[in-house]
Amino acid sequence: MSRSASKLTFASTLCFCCLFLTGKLFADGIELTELEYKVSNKVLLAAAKAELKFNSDVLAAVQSGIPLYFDLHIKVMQPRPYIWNKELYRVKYTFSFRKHALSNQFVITNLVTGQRGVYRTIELAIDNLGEVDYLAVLDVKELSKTSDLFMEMLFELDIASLPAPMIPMAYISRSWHISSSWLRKKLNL
Amino acid sequence: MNTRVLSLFSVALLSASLLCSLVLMSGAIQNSAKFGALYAVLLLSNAFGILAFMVIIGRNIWVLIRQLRTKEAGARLTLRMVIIFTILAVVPVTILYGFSLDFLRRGVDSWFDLRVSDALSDSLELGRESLDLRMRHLLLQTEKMADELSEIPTEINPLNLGAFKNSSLSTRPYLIPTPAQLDTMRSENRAEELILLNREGVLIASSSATGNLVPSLPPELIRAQVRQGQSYIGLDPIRDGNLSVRVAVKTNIAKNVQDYYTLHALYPFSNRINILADSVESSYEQYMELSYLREKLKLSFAMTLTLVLLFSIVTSVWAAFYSARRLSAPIRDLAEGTAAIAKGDYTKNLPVESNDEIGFLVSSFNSMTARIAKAREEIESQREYLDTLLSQLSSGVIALTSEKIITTLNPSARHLLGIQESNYEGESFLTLRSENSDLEPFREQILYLIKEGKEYWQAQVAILNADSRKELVCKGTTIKTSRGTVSGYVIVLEDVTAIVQGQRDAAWSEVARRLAHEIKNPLTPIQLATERLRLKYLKKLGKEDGELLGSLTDTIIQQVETMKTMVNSFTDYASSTTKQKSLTDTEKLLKGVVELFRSTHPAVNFIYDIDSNLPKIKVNIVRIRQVFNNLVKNALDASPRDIKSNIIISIRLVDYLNSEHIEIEIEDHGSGIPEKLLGTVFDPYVTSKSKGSGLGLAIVKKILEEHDGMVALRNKKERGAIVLVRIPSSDIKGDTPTPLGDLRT
Repeated sequence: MSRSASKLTFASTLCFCCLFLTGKLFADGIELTELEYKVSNKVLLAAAKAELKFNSDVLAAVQSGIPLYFDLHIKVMQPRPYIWNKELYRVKYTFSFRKHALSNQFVITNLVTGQRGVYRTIELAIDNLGEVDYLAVLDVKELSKTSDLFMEMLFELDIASLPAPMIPMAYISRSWHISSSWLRKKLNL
Repeated sequence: MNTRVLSLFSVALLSASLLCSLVLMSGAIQNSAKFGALYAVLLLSNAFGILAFMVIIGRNIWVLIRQLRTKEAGARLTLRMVIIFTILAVVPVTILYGFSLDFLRRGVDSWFDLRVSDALSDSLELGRESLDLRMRHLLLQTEKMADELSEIPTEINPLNLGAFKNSSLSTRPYLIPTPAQLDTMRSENRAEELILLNREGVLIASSSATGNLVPSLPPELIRAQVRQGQSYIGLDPIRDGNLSVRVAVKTNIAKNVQDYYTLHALYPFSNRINILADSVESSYEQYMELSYLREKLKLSFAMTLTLVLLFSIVTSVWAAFYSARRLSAPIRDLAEGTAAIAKGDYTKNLPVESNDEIGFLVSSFNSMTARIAKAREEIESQREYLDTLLSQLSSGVIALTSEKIITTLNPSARHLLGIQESNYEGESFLTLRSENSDLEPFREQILYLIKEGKEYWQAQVAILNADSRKELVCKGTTIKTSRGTVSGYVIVLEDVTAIVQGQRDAAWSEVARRLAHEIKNPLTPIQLATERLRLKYLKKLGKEDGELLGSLTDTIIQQVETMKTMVNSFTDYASSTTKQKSLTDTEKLLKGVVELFRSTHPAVNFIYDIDSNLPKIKVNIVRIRQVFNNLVKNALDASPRDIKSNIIISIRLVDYLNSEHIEIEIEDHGSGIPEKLLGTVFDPYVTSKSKGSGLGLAIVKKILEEHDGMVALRNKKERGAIVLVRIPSSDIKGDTPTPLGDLRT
């Protein structure tokens, strides 16, 4: 058995063991700074601003043509005394972020709405990824008339959508755990 | 469903699940789109599956270690088989794994040929260059359109609709081309979409080939670039992945007007160019992706291969355990069965679980066990029969091995030898001992006879004990094997004491009868002749001669009287007095005899210990009185004359030889019987007295034997002797006893 094969065996065994010991321990890389909402045509819309800081591993992957998928989770919650809050509604928007090699540009696509943005530089693309324009959350008629509702939002990289060979390492590597914390905003509808 | 089948089914299910999971995982690596989302789950499930297998194997190992520690049957065989099976399975798999990893690494590396990489990069660059040429041409074309727009007469839009929406916008009127002019321009330049925006980015006019109501507005960045006087041209993947060229240029509203518009145009590529561009793009992307994932792919494949290896190893090891247990189970059962038989348990019946050679072996074992059990039962039955027979035999039987180990010592033999213990089986013949008897002469005699090596031998051996002498006839047989070697000895003991004694008594009776007959007849004439001689010649002789004659004749007459007495004693001994029996009270009869002697022996104190309600005995009173007379007289003779002493007389009812007997003990405090006379004290002419005839105890014994009784004499431990008499009692009630007064006569 060659030395490289031995290394691979050792590394695979190590990964195998570490897989059980680690989880999503390191939520870092995205910070949701603003969360806005409005009601337009009786539809609750939400917008957000986020600061995204990708490390070199992630940037290298994008430059190498690896598509990244980011999930924007929006929840409408109703607080309850003593016990956990009740989740009234939940919606998820997924954004793909990839490099278009032929045009040498970076494309961000909202996979739900089909909206697409093309950017000449990766930095520009990352900045625009953090600019989430108003997205439909739910029909306000579905909500009961209560003043205690609030909205929560989370923006994260979907590790499971990475190419399969990357997934084990992504799960155990801090570099790939890119997620914001939940940002809360009280709703006054 | 039993536990074993359930366990087997569970493991098979687990193996199948793991196998499926590994196949899916392999698919996930090769095609992320298909199973990529499940990859982590599959990886974890495989890991847990293998871990579950390891737990099962660990349990098996623990059980095996426990079995080895307790030295359970079949454990070592199972261990050996597990090791062999595991080595047979693991070594080739591991070698295969090593080579596979190497091939895998080389295989993945071979995907990334430098020439292919260069070719792809070149093709991409070529595509870019080609598209750039087209884009430059389109830029020039759009700039030309912008110039044309500023040249053509324009209309003033009387209504600024944008002002309604945004008050910050200027409310000045716009100079715009007519829709027909814009459509003509777009179609002449083969643009897909043509848009005119004012300085604020408000849509002034648009023309679309596709009829889209919502035009594709340029982003703010492009508008900002145009504001700064720089035209924008870019290749955008606009809709459905198709490429379009986006161009934005600055154009004057009209001559002599300072304000400007932004002309934004979208040019589509032909389908052919789109397909080719997409092909180049996707190929390059895939190559770049694979190139980026090169090491990770190796790692993933190695991980999958490692999981496959682990799966193979754990299933092999488990299968090794399972197979080893299955194979060793019948052998373990056989070992346990053999051990059980060794311990004497012949009821063990092993399960026959297969019809192969092992099953045949187990069946044969079961048959053998059954036959052994049957044979053992027969032997046991025969042994019980033999034991019963031996226990009922009046003859003593001793069986010895060739090493003189006792294998059989029946109750009669123990009784004859005076052995109390019953567990002499397994002990050496040399250790045979009795509390009451001296068995040394017996042992020496038997060992001597055995040593002689005869096949059959016979000898008469006397055994002396404290109160009797036994004459035993020992008949020995040497048991030999079919090969002629000695395997043991059987000794049969016959008690001939009574026969010998009877023969001796008969001989003495005959002697006594003849002596009485031959001596008594001449005595009377001798006495008469002597008296006549004395009468006739005494007066005729002188004084001196007369005195001599008187003295001589007195001596003759006295000696004749003595001889008559002796002859009468012989007559008594020889005579049989079994007739004239009557019911007699033993106590009264004995006390009557004692009273006769009380006056002549004042120093002796008679102490009675007599049970109440004693049954009567049917005896010849005269003869039994003679017995008591002799015994009491002997006790008195043995007692010291001048010192006060006791004679203890006890009468009790005892159970002897399964019938009631009156037992009389007369205990004196004399000097006892000399040891050398103990065996023959009841023989005629045996006495320890200076003046005794030696017939007293012989007559006592003869009378008691004629009454089916017995007499025994033994010395006390301290001083004195005890004579013991047993006479069968009579259960006949109401018989009138013979008056004691008559008995005294």
